[in-house]
Amino acid sequence: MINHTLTALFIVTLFCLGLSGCNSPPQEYSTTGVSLHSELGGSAEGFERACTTRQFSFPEDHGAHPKFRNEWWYITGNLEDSSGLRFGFHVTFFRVANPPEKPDANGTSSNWSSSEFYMAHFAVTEGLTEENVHSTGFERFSRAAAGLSGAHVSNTEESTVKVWLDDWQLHASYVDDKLIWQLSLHEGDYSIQMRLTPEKPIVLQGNAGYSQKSADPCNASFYYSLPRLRADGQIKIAGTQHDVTGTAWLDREWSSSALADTQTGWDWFALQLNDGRDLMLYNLRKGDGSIDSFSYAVEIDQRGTKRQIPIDQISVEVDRWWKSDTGSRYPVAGKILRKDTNEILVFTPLRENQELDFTVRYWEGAIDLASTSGENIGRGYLELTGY
Amino acid sequence: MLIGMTLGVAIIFAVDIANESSKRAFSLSLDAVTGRTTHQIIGSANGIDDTIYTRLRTQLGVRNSAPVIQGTINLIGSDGSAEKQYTETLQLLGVDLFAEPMFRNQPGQALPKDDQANGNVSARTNRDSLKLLHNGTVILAQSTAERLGASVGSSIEIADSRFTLTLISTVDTKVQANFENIAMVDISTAQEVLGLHGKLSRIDLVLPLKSQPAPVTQRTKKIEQNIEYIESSIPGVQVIEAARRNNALIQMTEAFHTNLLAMSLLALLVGAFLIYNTVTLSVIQRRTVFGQLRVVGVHRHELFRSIITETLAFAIVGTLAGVVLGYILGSALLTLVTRTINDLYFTLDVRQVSYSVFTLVKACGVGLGVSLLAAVPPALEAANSPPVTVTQRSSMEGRVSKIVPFIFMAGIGLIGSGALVLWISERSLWAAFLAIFFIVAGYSLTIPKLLLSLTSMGNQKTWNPVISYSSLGNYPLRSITASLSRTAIAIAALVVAVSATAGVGIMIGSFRLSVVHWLGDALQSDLYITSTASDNSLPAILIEDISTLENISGTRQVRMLNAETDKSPIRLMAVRNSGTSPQVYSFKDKANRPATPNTANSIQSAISPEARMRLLNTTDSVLVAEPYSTNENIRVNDTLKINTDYGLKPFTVVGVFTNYTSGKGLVVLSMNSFHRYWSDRNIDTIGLTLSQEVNAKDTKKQLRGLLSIYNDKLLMRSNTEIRTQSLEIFDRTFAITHVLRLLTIGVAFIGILSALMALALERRSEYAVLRALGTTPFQLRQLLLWQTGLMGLIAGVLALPLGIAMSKILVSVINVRSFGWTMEYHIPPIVLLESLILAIIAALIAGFYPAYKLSQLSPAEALRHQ
Amino acid sequence: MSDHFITLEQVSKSYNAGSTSHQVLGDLSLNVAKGEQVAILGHSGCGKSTLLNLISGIDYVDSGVISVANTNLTTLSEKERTLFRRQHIGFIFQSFNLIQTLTALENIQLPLQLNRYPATEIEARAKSMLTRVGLNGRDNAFPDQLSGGEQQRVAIARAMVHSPALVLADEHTGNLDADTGREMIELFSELAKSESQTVLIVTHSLAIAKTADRVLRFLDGKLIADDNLDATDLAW
Repeated sequence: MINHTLTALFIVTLFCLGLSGCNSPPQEYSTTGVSLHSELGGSAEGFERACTTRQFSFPEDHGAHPKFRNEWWYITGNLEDSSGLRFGFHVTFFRVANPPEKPDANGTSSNWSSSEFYMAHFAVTEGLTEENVHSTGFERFSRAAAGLSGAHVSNTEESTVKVWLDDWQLHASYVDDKLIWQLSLHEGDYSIQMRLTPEKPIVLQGNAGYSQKSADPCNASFYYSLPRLRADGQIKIAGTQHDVTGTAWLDREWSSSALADTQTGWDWFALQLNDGRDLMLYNLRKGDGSIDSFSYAVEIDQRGTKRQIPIDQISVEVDRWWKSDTGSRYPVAGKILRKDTNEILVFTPLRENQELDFTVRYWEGAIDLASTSGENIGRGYLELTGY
Repeated sequence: MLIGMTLGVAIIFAVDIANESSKRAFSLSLDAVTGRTTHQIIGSANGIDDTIYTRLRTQLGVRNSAPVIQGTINLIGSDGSAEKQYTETLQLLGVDLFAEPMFRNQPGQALPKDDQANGNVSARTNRDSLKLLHNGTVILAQSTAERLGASVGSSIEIADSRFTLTLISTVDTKVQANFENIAMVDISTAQEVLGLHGKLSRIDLVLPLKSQPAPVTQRTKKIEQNIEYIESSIPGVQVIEAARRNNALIQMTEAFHTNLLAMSLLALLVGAFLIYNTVTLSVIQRRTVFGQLRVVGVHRHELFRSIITETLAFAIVGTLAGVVLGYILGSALLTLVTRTINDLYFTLDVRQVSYSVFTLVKACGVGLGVSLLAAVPPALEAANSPPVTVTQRSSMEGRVSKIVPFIFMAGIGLIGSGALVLWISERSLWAAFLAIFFIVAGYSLTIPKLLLSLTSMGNQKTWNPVISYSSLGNYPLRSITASLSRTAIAIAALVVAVSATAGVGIMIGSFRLSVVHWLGDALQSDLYITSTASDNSLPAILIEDISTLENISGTRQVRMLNAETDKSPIRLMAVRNSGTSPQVYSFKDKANRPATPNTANSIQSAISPEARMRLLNTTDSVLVAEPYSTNENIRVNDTLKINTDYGLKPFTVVGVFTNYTSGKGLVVLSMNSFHRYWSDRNIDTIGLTLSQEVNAKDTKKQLRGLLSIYNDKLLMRSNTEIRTQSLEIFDRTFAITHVLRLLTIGVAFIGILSALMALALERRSEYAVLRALGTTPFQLRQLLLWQTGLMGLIAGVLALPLGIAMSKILVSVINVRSFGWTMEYHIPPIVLLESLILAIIAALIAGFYPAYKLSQLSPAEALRHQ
Repeated sequence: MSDHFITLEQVSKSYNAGSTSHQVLGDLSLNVAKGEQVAILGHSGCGKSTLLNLISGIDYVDSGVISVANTNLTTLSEKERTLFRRQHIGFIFQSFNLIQTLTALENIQLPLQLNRYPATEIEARAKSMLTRVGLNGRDNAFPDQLSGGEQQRVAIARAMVHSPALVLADEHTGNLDADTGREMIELFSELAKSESQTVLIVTHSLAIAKTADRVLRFLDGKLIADDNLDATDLAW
């Protein structure tokens, strides 16, 4: 999904926003951000880097890779209740590591000391009803210590995979040799309890899971996806509980490198078509507005077979920009044009306002897909950053 | 006139400022460590297990919770030379930044505007705060960092610790006043520095959990549900209201502040005297002018108005100047107040001088009000008298001497009501202070009469030595009584000041003597070994090693912990004596209720100390320190519930013992009981009693050898050292009272000075006559000094009974009511002598200037101006 | 060395009043013999009182020489002048100037105490002096309990109790009615004569001046006549 170098910026920006508070003048963000980045162990130094392909092994690789600086578990999905009410959800666990501390004079023996922390985002969108126009997000942080947050894989415990921050949890357990995922998050009057059953095998993105993001071969991440998960469970929005079913997408990615200077943001599509195909596309935008050649697109067929789409064979045409109250403009509707199949996918957002005003601001929202004739052909999630 | 008024207002304001600033700093500091917290999870004395927090967060989903580790550290400044280190004691506040409010708020939601007012310590003003997650990093107030000579990036040593901290950021206390005095570190750093592995001091909670606004009853219910949820989910956890804990602390310092308040009342009285005196002086001084004005036809209303207007103008200027001076004075006093609080209660660092509008209004009100009050009688008189007599001062004195008996009776009445208040009020500290105020004010009203009686003894040759020396016969003495309106007020001011000095002096003397005796009782072991390690515990092997040593006839092992009870928190002291264990407690028993025969360990208050100790060792019982007993009204045979490792357990009080350590109430239990209810097996102090026949030096040497392998982490001190140190602290604690006493004397001094100046001015012609009769300037100077010396002596003599009365009230009433300390009453003769000399010296010094002015008097001119 | 008791040679004295200087005495020269009773006659502000102050050493001259009993006052220090005055001069003030806080007897005792007479003598002398001025039995009366005449008697007693060689009186009958004034003068000159004291009386009353051996008339700081009153019968 997201380029690892971009993530570095993402995290950095996040903290300078978070810590400089509401009073600081805006121009401070960038300058403090960079320095904070380095303070946090900004460079990849001290970390392993993704420079070439590797052997993946599951379920171990569902857990954390502490030798890399950044890692995430990223789940998005479109849901529907029996009455046809539409929902979108988005849950992410980020792991962020500081460089391994040099052994200092004090030594460290407290089990609270950690060079890692976790950040998690939880957002839900309710669509199609006039009076209930909810799009709400929550954000949490915690140190990866004292059992407060973490990610691990174990064959002995109840759940094989466990990623958590406080009581926000992503679990996975084997049921008849099949790893079934379970999301459980509460925040006030909002919650999600979702069972996620993979309908397709794991897809290793890029070159067998090695996803290069710029000319430097080590500017890369390890990246795999679970492109189609059947979702069923409950979602609670503003105190009202809904039984829902739908389709979700799980992305896993870890890396250590920094963002290339020229790259300013990305547009990421994860699309599930009614005909059983899944499509994933990310465009890395450069400062001049052009698309970086290290952008990436892939199609997964009904059986789960992956086919990479050459980046010059696919393009995005914006139909509508939406301006948020915060002043950012997002391309929330448009067309994906495929030269290889001569397909045109028209995308429109479930709601225009799916901006997440977290410590770093981005747009992450459920979208509908239609043919040029207006017929619904699928659903998906769109992520717009750097606007 | 201005000087007098300025000083009067200044002293009132200064004492108030010092009081209020320290109070404010105290509450800020409380806020800083508790923040918006509504509830807290606390455990037994050792703090709580940090996994409770993890469970709270990951299983119970209690989000509005934050782990806190709190302790005290001494940071070493980098500027000082190796010889004289500058150390600063700070509250170490271990937090989890991720749990702090910034992370708790809804995304995009600005922090509430009143966050500042709520006093949350948060590091959000600085992005560098995130570095706090690195082990061994610290955030300090900018001002603290400056004092320590530390800048961002520099490392700061912790006294008596192997740890160093790296300063990563500073916080401007202008923005966050409550950050003063705080050293903010990460939880992990705090655990290491304080040696509290796996422990938290407490968990702060904001209940109810974030939800929509709900009606109060609903919310209360929700809070209760939350508490029940937490307590039932995690056994052994106790959720208490944050306010309750703070209250205990507030109560503790309240007593101290009340004492300061008494000082400020005293300052008020003396200040008012001063203002009164200066204003009357300024009016009376110009009686001639007023007389002449009346002669030339100024109407008396006009005259009265102009006098009052003028006084008011002066009062305004004087009051303003007084406020400014008071502010400066107050800042200086504040340092002393803070030091006292630090010594007595807990680390507090006040750098910000603050005052309330009320204080300001009070000081100004006294300045203006007393001025006007003082101006009215002489102004009325000047305005109402027929033109001729205005110039005759004696007519006024005549009137004054007529009302002396009435004033005297009023004074006696006031003293009586003071005594009555004292007698009927049982526990109220305020009443006690009111009584003192009454008695002091009443006594000062009796002074004119006493002054007359004292000096009239002159006719009975009592004053012969004085008379024969002065070569002016009865003149010096007679002229004091002749200007009663002038001299009596000056003397009264001096009497109040000196008696306060004597009273407080006697109180401190008594207190000190009691402390000395108590230390003698309490420090029965010859040597004490304590650990300077962060967790304060002594190595178990050492304890074994020591027990094998010869020449030691007895040991006393002590473990000290903080504990919560069903009343206010206590300092728990578990004790085990072996060998010859001397009796260290002196019991002062008062039982709330008689012993009930059917209770196994209920005792008669006449029981022997040995029997008490036996009970202590064999049953679930405790000894309670006197102050705690008084404050919590817990007596022998009462039950105190202490939060043990196994929850709240009842302990019977079998004795109340003398104790002058301050702060939390001290409760003693036997090591056996302690081990029964607590899992802690550490020992922090061992007291050793050496065998009589042994050479102490050899044993010490032997012990020192034994201790040397523990790398300076152990400290051996003899009882003499501890005693000396304790008394040093004691003396330091009362330093502020010395300063306040001197300040009061200073104001009284100004009073005397102005009274003498007035006298000198009024008597110009009289002195000119004396000069014409052949009195040399030197003799005249001598004469005035004689007079002032006499006034001083009289003030000194009159001050003694009042001083003794005051000290008696301070010792037997105020101290008992405010601290719960009873003490031996002892009047050190030296204090009385000091007071006498102080009064005379103050008066004499005050006399120098008027005397000098007088000797410069040109008699020819003075006579010509008649 | 002159055989005069008081000698003034070209004495000048000015007072400063603000920026202007006002000459009170200018180039005054005169002699007074021992035992002589001299009246100084003149209007208010003519320099009479200043003359007394200068002779008593209370004030000092701008220029010229004053000597009393062969002592040159102008060369003495303040203290020496005071000591000289204490011993040799008695002073009676215009408004009596008794010390209000002392009794009649105590007032009279003051000069004796200042001159360190033995306690017994102080007692005896003061009492006899009180008797001589006719106030026997009023020992313990305070000034405000005495009539004007009585106060003046005390003042006279106080001035003469230590038998000074020179007695200075400044309008000492000014505040009294005519009869009492005359009474005072009689008492005063009688006492002076009996001890052959030299007397200087400042007055603006002809009647009083008449009782003196010699009258000095002053006008604006100048001596305009020096004779006895019978000889110069000028209308004042």
